[in-house]
Amino acid sequence: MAVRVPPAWRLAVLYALLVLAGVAVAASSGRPVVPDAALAVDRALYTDLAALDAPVPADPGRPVGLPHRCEPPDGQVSCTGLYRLTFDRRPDEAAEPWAVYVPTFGSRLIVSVNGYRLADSRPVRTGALVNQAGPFLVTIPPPVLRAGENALDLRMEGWSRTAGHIDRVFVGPDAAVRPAYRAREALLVTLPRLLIAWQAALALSLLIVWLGRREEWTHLTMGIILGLGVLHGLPLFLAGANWPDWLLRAANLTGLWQATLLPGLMASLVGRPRPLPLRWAVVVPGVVSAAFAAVAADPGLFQPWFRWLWLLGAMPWALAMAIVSAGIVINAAFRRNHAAARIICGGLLAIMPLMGHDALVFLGVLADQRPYLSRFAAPFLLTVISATLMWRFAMALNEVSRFNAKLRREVAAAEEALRASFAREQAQIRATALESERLRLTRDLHDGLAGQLVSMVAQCELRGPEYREVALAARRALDDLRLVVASLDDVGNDLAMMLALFRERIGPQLQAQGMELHWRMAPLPDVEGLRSEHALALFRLLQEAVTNAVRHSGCREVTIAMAPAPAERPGRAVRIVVADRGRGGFAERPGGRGIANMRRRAAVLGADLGVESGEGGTRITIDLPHALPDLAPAGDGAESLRTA
Amino acid sequence: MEQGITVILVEDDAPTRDFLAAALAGGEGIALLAAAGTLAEARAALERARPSVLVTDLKLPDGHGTDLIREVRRRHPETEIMVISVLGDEVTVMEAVRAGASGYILKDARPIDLITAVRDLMEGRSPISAAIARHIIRRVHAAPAEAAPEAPAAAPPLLTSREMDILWGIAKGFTYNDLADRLGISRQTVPSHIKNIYRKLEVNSRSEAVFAAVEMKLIKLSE
Repeated sequence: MAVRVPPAWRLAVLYALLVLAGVAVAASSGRPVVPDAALAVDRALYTDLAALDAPVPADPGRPVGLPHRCEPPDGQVSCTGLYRLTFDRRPDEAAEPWAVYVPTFGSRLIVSVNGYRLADSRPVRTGALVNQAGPFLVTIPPPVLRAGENALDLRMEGWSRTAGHIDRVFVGPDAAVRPAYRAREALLVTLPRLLIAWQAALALSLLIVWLGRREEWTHLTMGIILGLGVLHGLPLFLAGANWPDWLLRAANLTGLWQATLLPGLMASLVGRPRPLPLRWAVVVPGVVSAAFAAVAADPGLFQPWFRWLWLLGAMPWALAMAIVSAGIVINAAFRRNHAAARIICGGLLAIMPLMGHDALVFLGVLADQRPYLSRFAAPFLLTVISATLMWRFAMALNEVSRFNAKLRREVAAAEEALRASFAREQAQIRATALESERLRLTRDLHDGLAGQLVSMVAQCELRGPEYREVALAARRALDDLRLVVASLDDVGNDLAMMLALFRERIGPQLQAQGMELHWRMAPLPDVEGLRSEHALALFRLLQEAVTNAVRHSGCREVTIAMAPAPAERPGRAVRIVVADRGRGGFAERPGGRGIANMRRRAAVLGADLGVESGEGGTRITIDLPHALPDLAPAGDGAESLRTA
Repeated sequence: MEQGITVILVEDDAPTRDFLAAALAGGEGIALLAAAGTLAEARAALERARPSVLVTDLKLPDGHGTDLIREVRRRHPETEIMVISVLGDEVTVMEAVRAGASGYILKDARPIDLITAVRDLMEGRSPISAAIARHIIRRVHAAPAEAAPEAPAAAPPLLTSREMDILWGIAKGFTYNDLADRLGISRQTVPSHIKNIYRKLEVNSRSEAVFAAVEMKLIKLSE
């Protein structure tokens, strides 16, 4: 799970704040706003009615205090009764319109003033939902209103025990009571409707996710649960339509189904096995729903039974499912540090005060005028869970992106490795080819050209001093041939090895001419891109420098020193110095073809050539770069013997 | 003749043979017993005399010099063998070394060099070039890895680490003096080590199989 887990103390603070917020909501939202300039009526005479439309009974009824909850007669679930209230209107009061404002009632209310039936709640407010009590406002037409005492009759029908209740009643100028009504309506009517629409939108997006990715069972389950929430709220929009009551009341069953699906959802959300197979889980809600259908068919026969089924079956089942779900979430959140579970735990904590509030209301501990707040709890919790799901989805996409990026990197690395390996292989093949070619060439030269040159040398030597010039020329040819062969040797980038080959060629030559060679080799860094062409260019450059010393210095010693390039020559790897202690004057010599040749060869190597020639002798400095230039195949035909 | 160096020369090219013969004959304390132009002549000469040094070319009109070298190594182990090479290349030299030669000279060597080479060889010093040193390093480096699977009993290392150091130094272009300083040995012992190395590379020696097994393969030195 990619959701970041906050440190424990931050979590604790967050949870505490959520609980506080829940308590604040529970404490503040129950009590209705009391309109200032209105009469609060909290006493009435109550009479049971056989039916809502029954004629006004002769019995004046028993006095009750408001709020009041009606008691269904024995063996029945619903109750119907008439509340007779009176209020005074002083004659001096302005003739503005008055209104009756009932902050909460359930399930259906018919308002009459002075015998005139003014309004029925049924077309505007559904009573089908047990926990969706709302406010009611009835404007009293001025002709109906009398100066002095007025009679206010409220016929109330509650189809269940919890639904049959009525709050205090406020009567007063319409302008005074309407704002209070509006506030109440916003909380208990508009907000629930908005929440329904909200849940519908969430459900739709989750189902779309599921449609696009069928293995996302969590999203499907959540979508269904949200959809059930929407179904539950549908009667809010259907008031006044000609739907049969029982069908609207069926919406109350959705909570049971939601509760049934919840453990599975939580389990799949936190990646645990479903605590109960779905086919077993649906038994209870299935039975209850079937029973509900039976009640619709014959209320008289089945209603009493259904009540017990509801109280002893459905309610405990829903509670158990909720507890199991909470258990799964809490376990995952705190035993396995599941981040999503921790978020949902926060949501649970936040709604706990609301549930506690409703429990207290249900048990009658809190005054009855308070509306149930659990209606907000469910959408809130569902929103939290949906948000978690969507967050998780986004995180999963991030994970996929990260994984893709990683994969791309790895593929690139593998490709790189493959390319390198291929290049290595190619280099190996090239080296092998070069080597075999070099061996072939060596063998051919050995048996042919070189042998002939040797024979020439031998013949000249045997014939005496008059053939010395020819012998010398043949020897030079042989020496150069050996340089070419040596330059073909594959030494990788090891310049020292290449120079070692040169030493073996130049050493005997110098010795034959009575010159002493001082060879100073320091450990050298590698020089990139060293190839035969470079080697040959370097050999000839050195040969030129040495030949110059032999011919013109007048000195019997020549020093060749190789060392890493001095620090003041950045970008240069190796410095080779050919020095003599002769008479100098190298640079000024007329027709100095030698130096031009040397510069040309230095350019081939990308090397800096320095010539100091003076009293103390001649000193030729060659500074080689770290990487030798890549020579064009046709660059210097005379120099190159390219085989690769 | 008191303790002189006796030499038999085998070279098919007549002028070269004459030139080398003249050069050798001019050496003080060196006696040229015979100068042969073919394998058969060489064998005949070797029947007659046992030289202290055999100087031979590899390519002969009636056979290969390596056969001669092997015969001499077998029959006259005390005879030092020196091969004549045109280019001093590792192909020729190693071929001879593996047959049993312990020295080489260039065919156009000046008389003084030739005589020095023969004397050095008699004193147990063998010449080596950077290319040959590198060639040996390659083969020796490749050998253990190649041989390991078949020879878990671990053949003794072909060359000592001292010998390897010497080969590396030569391959890298250090002079014998530099090398001797670095390794804390005398300058004169470096060529003696070379001779030991050549001996170990001889195909008759016990490491021969390992070396021969990898001889045909080309393994890059760097890497």
